Order: sequence, then structure tokens, then C-alpha cells
Amino acid sequence: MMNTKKMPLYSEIVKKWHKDKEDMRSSVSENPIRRITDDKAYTIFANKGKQITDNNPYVNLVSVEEFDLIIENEPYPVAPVTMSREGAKSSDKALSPFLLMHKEVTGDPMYYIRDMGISKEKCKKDFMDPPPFNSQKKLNQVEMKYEIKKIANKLGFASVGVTKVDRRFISQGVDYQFPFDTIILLGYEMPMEIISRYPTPDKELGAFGAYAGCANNVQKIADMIRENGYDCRALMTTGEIKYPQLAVNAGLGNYSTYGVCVTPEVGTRLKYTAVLIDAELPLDNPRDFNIEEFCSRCRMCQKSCPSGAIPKEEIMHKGAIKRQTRYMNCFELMTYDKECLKCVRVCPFSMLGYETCMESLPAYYRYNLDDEINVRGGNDD
Amino acid sequence: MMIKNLLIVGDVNNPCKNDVKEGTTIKELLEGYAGGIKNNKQIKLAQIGGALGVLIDGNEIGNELGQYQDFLDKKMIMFFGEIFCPVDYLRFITRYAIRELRVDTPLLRQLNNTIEMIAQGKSDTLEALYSSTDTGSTGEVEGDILKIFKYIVDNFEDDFIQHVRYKKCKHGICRGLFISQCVNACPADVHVPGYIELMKKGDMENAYHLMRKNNPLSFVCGKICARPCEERCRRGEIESTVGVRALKHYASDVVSKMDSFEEDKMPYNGKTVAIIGAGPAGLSSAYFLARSGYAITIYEANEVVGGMLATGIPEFRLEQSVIDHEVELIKNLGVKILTKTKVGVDISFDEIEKNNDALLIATGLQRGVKLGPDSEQIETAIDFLKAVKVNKREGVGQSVVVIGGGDVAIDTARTAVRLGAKKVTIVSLESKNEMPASVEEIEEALEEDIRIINNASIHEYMLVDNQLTGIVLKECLSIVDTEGRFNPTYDESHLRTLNADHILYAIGQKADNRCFENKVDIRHKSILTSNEKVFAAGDVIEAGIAIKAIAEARDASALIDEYLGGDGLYLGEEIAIPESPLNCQSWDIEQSVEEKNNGLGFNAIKMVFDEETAQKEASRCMRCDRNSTKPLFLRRF
Repeated sequence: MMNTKKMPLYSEIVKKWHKDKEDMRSSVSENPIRRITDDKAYTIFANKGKQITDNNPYVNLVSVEEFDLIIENEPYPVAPVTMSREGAKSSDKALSPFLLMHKEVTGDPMYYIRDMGISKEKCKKDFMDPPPFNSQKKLNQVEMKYEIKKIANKLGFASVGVTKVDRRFISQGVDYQFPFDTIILLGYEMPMEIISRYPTPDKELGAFGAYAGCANNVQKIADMIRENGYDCRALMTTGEIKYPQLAVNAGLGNYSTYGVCVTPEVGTRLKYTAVLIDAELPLDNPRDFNIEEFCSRCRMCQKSCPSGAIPKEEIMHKGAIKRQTRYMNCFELMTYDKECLKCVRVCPFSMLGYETCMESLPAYYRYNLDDEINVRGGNDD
Repeated sequence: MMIKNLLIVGDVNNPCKNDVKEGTTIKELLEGYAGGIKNNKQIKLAQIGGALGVLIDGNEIGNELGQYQDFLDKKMIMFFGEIFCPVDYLRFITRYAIRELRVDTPLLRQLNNTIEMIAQGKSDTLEALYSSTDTGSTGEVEGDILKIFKYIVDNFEDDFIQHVRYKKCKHGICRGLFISQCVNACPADVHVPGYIELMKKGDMENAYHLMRKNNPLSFVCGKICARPCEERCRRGEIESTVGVRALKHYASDVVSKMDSFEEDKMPYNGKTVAIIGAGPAGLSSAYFLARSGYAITIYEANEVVGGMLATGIPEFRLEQSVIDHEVELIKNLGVKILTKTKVGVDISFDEIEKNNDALLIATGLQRGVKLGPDSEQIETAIDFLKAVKVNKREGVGQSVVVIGGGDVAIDTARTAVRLGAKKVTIVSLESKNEMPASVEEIEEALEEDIRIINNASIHEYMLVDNQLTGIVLKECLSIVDTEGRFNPTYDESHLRTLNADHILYAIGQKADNRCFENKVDIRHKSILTSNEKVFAAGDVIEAGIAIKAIAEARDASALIDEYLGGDGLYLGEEIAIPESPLNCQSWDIEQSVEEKNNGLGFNAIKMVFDEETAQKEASRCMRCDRNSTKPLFLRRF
């Protein structure tokens, strides 16, 4: 049967293509980034966070050009290859060890997965059909930020910071989930008493506990923001964005020996989530917390890693000098050694506290920490 | 004028914020408000006005705050203690300016690069440093940083020379220059994390072999080493130190009971070396050279082997049997030790020199120094210690006063207590914090009811019918003059008396070089002497702790080997150090307390750890030797 619909002319398609792209280009004033999208082959976005990353002394980009090119040609996958199982059914065999682990530790195979699933569905729904928000702005942007920090801390997020999304760290094909560029980074604490029980967790798991904590509480933050008159979206916890770089951009901490962002509050005992907000909240600046200086004199995580996933030396990876972990090695232990978490368990920042670690560095390193010095002072008036 | 909310921070006991008057001296701030420098250390530097502020030498802390008017608006003073590396400090300052202050100029890059090269041991001279600090500056930050560079380079030249010439950061801060902080702190470079790892795996024999590569007197050191390694243990800085000496003690003890322990050596190479003195330096050198194929003879004047270890360290700290055990291992390598053979009396120096291819002088400092009237009641500490340990002397006064502030003074006082003295007092010229004796020893002395009088010296001896009845003490105000020379000043208006019927002087020792006088000149701190076939090591070239003498013995042995055309010392087969994952619960393991010698007998403690405790303690090591030594990245924009 012949298609009766008239085929468009090639020249018309080309013309429309050029016009579309021209429109996109002209609507984006600075730092355009081309992202592969389902509908239009690619879409040009303004990459608001690029400037922050490119000028962040604590993200060790050696070649911005190389990084840009790698990301454009091969964006980050939806999740680390080991975690992303596109097309896999929920009965996938690779998932069952997790469920069995959850069952044996907590008594319920769905103990964490249930909450994570509910939150994920809510996020998906919100992206398709944005929920209403209070038409009256109860708080101004500065107050809003303060309130978010306050509430987030109460809900178990030990570290909170605000920056702009750098789209290079967004996974392929999910740009539609990022309608706003201001992002609130939230680090959910894995409680000390749970981590202390590792390597033999009992009743609660550290990582999944925090994933579930993120999933539950990020929705509460989003609701609170909407209640106060701002549009926002909670993010899922499935790896659609690389958190460590953004957390460093948001001044939450610095890179650790194994790549994650260490924070002064709880070290590496945290999992990140985020909320995107349609507001120009005051941004936090990247800072030097002397963490890499301390790590260079510790490296306990690297020496304790049973799988060799943590490299001894930094290497050039995607245009940056960094310690890129080996996902495959790590994934194996996460799955077959009850989340492993030895790197967290052995980290002095996580277990002994930031102050103790800083005390062990020469005194002048405190100059980086002016605020903290002030907090420590006595006789404050 | 009042300075409100001045922040007082750094290596101090009590960081605080206070309102202070401009007339306050920096010393008053440190001692009055901040509770002094941490861990009883001395102050090295102070800095007013933040990272780019003015630096003030530890000797100038009598200055008033008001003198630094231009820097007071930042309202901050930071104190730096003794463990201060000028290279790392400058490295920090440049990184701080570039990254935190975002002042990224070619000059700052150049300064950073120069200092990073020094910190990494990639610079052989200070030329680049001098030339880059000589340039003019354009910006405010640049100017401040150049000032700091100039100040630090001028005031810490020795440290810089150590970094570039010997690739050594004596404080163990520039991690690109060493395996680990503990190895760096050990004068003999003993591979501490290596033998601890072997112990963790239960391989005591290889652990002992590994220690002996650098220190053939490991068992002795396991008992009496002043343990500079523990002082700089990285874990100790974060939490509490790994009990390195106790572990060494344990491993040595276990191996000493093994019949199978054997050491190989190179075949005889036809060359002979004579060593004068069987102390730590002489014995160690004999060991290194014997393993490398030389025929060794040691000439020892005493009837016992071990030098000061045998005569100067009391039995309750180090038994002769422990020394003898290690001497036995050295003899097993074919080393001949002729005791009761005093060079210059029983055999002439010339004869030894003629009959050997090389000669090592390791005679130490054998003569005690004493002051005051000639009296049987006034003796030198080392003669007393030797008489007690070797000749089993038992006589001691009722009210004993030991003069001196070092380890010998403490050993002498504790020995006097054990002999039954009723009252034992140590009179030290130094303040409590400045006493050269180790803190541990001072504490143990205090536990034994020994009284320590600091900042004092003898003014007068009280004699009745030629019998000593007491002494008059004067207060010591300062020990060194502004140039750092020993030149004590006293307050003679504050005198006090002290009963004493026995005075023991522990104020240092002298060398007895009569046997080679006019034949060989020994130079201070130099292994080489005026005669190319004669070498020197140990206290005779510079007084110090045992492990320092052992380290020099190794250096001297290497030089002797080189002089005799050898191709390097043989230290035994390579020992592979395992690299298994560390215990992730390591931080939960508390430091094991060493069993202490309680009671006032002369019996030494036999064992400080049992097997389980030793394994546990070994697993606390952070294995810093496995860390990357590469510099941290500093990105360009």
C-alpha cells in the first residue's frame, strides 16, 4: 500500500532544521551546549553552570576543550554502566542479591526499594505534569535559601549548598528533567551508628538507608518550597547527574581520594540528592576545606579497598586530573559484600570528624578556614 | 588602645578570642591567653594579620602587639610550634593566594613552582628560589607574599639547604621526600611500616631481618630507643601513636628465642677493618661490614660489650643479657671482639692502623664532667651508673642530688632510688618543658617520688668538716644568649638551700681521645677524619641518642666499603612487604598500653605485649609508605 501522505521535500526539511537551530542558538546567549534529545536530534541549552566548573580551582580540569568534546561526543550514561540496566526487568537476576541482602539485614526485601520507587514515580510524574505551587511568594530568595537549609538539616541532610547546573554532568537523554538551572545540593547523612556496624551491618544498611532517606525527604523539601511560592523539581536518586562535581561547585566540600565529595559535616558518610528550583537563590562558592591536603597524608580508603577500585595515583580522565574509581570492582563488592562501604568506614573525616583531621595538619592550613576559626573562638560577643 | 576580639590560634593549647590591650606582649598572649604551645613545645614563629601578615620570630615575642599596628585590623594572631617546615609553609601560601584569593599571576606561579620543586626534591640548589624572590612585585598580594618569602628564606636557610642538598625534610612535612613520617624521623631510616606489616602477618623473623637492615641493635632499641618515630607517627597526629618501640621489642624477643635465626653474609673479601669501641656505633659498623665480607676486630677497653648501653643505662631499663644476645648475633658473622683491650695501653694505635685496611673510631664520650670541690661525695653520673651496673656497687647517699636535665640525669636519679636513697632530687638548669630528657622518663621519675627542681643551678656547696651537708641553689633566668650560645644568667638574690650528702653530675661527657691524639684529627659531625683510612662515628663526632650512632655507623660503613673498593654494603636479601587491604575498623582499635616496670627493683620488664596485643597494635599502622608521594595538582586557568 502506498503512503498517500505527501512526502516533504528534502530542501524543506533542511530549511526547517536550520531555522530551528538558529532559533535555539539565538535564544541562548552564553555557553551553549548541544545535548542529544529524542525529538530534535539535539537541543541547544544554555549551560549556566559551565562557568562555575571551568573556574573552580577545586575541580582539576586540565583541558576544558577536551572535557567539552568528550561530553558532547559521549555524554555520561544514564547511570554508571554497572547500575544502568536499560530494558532489564525488575525480576532481573542482578537485582535479586540486593533484595536478598535487604531482606536479611532489615527483614523486608522492599524495606528501601519501596520508598525509593514511590519517590521515583513522583519525580517522573512531576516532570510530566508539574505540581502546582503557591502563587504567593511567602519568602524572598535569600529567606528561601535560609529556610531550605534549616529544614533540610532537620530532615537529615547534613550538607546543603546551592549552585547552577552544569549540564555536562547530566546523563544522556534526561535533560528534560532539568527545566531549571538553580540546583540545591542535599547530602543525606548515613548515621554514625549504622556505619559503625560495618562490615557486618545489622538491621539497617548505610547506603540504601541513605538512598531511601534522600528519596523520602527530598519530596518534603520540594513540597516546602512549593508551599513558599517557588516552582521546583525533586531529583530521582538513579544517577541522572554526577553529584560530586556539583557538590564541589556548591562549596559543600572537596574531592576525596575516591572521588566522592567529602564534607566537613560528615565526611563521606552521605549520599547526595538535589532539588531544582525556579529562583535565583544566592549561590555558594567553591571552597578549600584542606581535604585533599589531609587525604594526601591519609589514603586509608585506598589502602583498605578490598577490590582495588580506588587508584593510588590521580590520572587524566575526561579532561581532568582525578582519582577515577573502577566501577566494576566497586560494584561487585557493593553487591556481594553487603554494600562493602569500607572506604566510608575507614575514612577519618567520616569516623573521627573533620576537626580532628584538621588538627593534625600544620596550623597554617587553618588560614583556609577563617569562618571555622571564628566559630571556635571563645568570649564571642 | 584595646583590640577587640583578637583571635589567638595555631599550635596552642587553648585557641581563643579575647579583647587585649595593644601594650600586651606576644609572649603574654601565648602564655596568658592561649595556654602556651601544644605538647610542651617551643614557639618557632608567630604571624599577625592572617596568611599574608607579618611574621615574628620566636625570640622576638617580647614585643608588644602595638608594634604591628598595620596588621592588627585582621584581628588574628597565629602561633607556630617547633614542627614547622618553611618549605611547606611557603607552598601553602602560594596555593592559598592562587586558589583562595584567586590571584594567579606569573610571579606567584613561578614562586609556587619553585617551592614545589624543592618540596619534591627536584631542586638541587636554591638559585631559583633566590632569583624569584629578588624580582619586583606589581600587586598587593604579590608584595606581601614576596615579603613572606624573603623573611622565611632568610630565617630558615638551614632547612632549605637540607631540602635541596640532602632531600630531607627533618620535620616530616614534605611528603614527597620520604617513605613515611616515621621512617623520616628515624635517624637510621628503619622501615617501620614494613616490619609492622610483616608482624601483622605473623612473620616475626622477616620483620626482624628487615629491622636489622638498618639497625643491628633492634632488640636494644626495642627497649630503650627514644622513639623519634612515634613522635611523628601520622596516626599519632590524628588519634594516638602506634606503639612502634613496643612492637619492635616484641618481634625481637620472639626471634631471640628462635634457634633457627640465621644471617647470611658475603664471602671474605680479604680486607680487614678494626673498630675501636664496642658501643652502638662500633657494634653496628662491625655488623654491616662483616655481612659485606670484611674481617672485623673490635677493641674494647671495658670488660663488658655495649659501650654506654652496657655501662650508662641502668639494668632496670636494659639488661646486659639483651646486649649480649645481639652481640652474639654479630659474633656469629665472624666479628672478633677483644674486651679489656685499651688502645694506647694494651695495644698501640699505630699497630692497629698498620695491620688493617681501614679503621673506625667509635670511642664515644667516656669521661664524665663534674664541678665543685674534690670530694668522694661528688661524683660523675656515668661513673656511678657504671659502678652500679657493672661492678654491682650498692653505696649511695641518703639525700642525693643529681645535677642535669637529660636522660642520664633521670637514669641516675632512678638508680639512686633503687639503691635506697631516702630523698632524690634532680636539679635542672632548664625549665620543665625544655629539659632534654624524654617526657616519658620524666614522668616515670616523678612516679618514683623523685623531685625535680627546674631553672636552678648550684651557687654554693655546704661543707662541714669536709663533709658535704647541702647545697645552695640560685635561680637560672636564661640559658642561651641572643646569639643562641650557652651563656646562662642567674638571679643570685633568690637563693635556697637543699640538704645533700651525695651529688651526681650528669651535665655531659667528654671524649677521651688520648689513644689517637696527635695521630688523627676528628672533626665535629664528620665521619671522615684527617687520615683517609681512619673513620669516626657515634658520640665521638656528635653527642646523641643510640639510634643516631647506629645511623652514623651505617653511613661510616658505606664510606669504608667505598674506600676499600667495595660495591655497596650487603644487607641481606630483599624482603617483600605485603600490601593487603587494611582493616576498615582500624580506627576503633585503641592504642595498647605497654606493660610498665612498676616497683623499684632492678629487674627490667621482660615483655611489653603478648601475641594478641602485638597483632592488634600492628594493625593500627596506617601504612603511610603506601601513599602517593606525588604533588597535589594546582590547576591553571
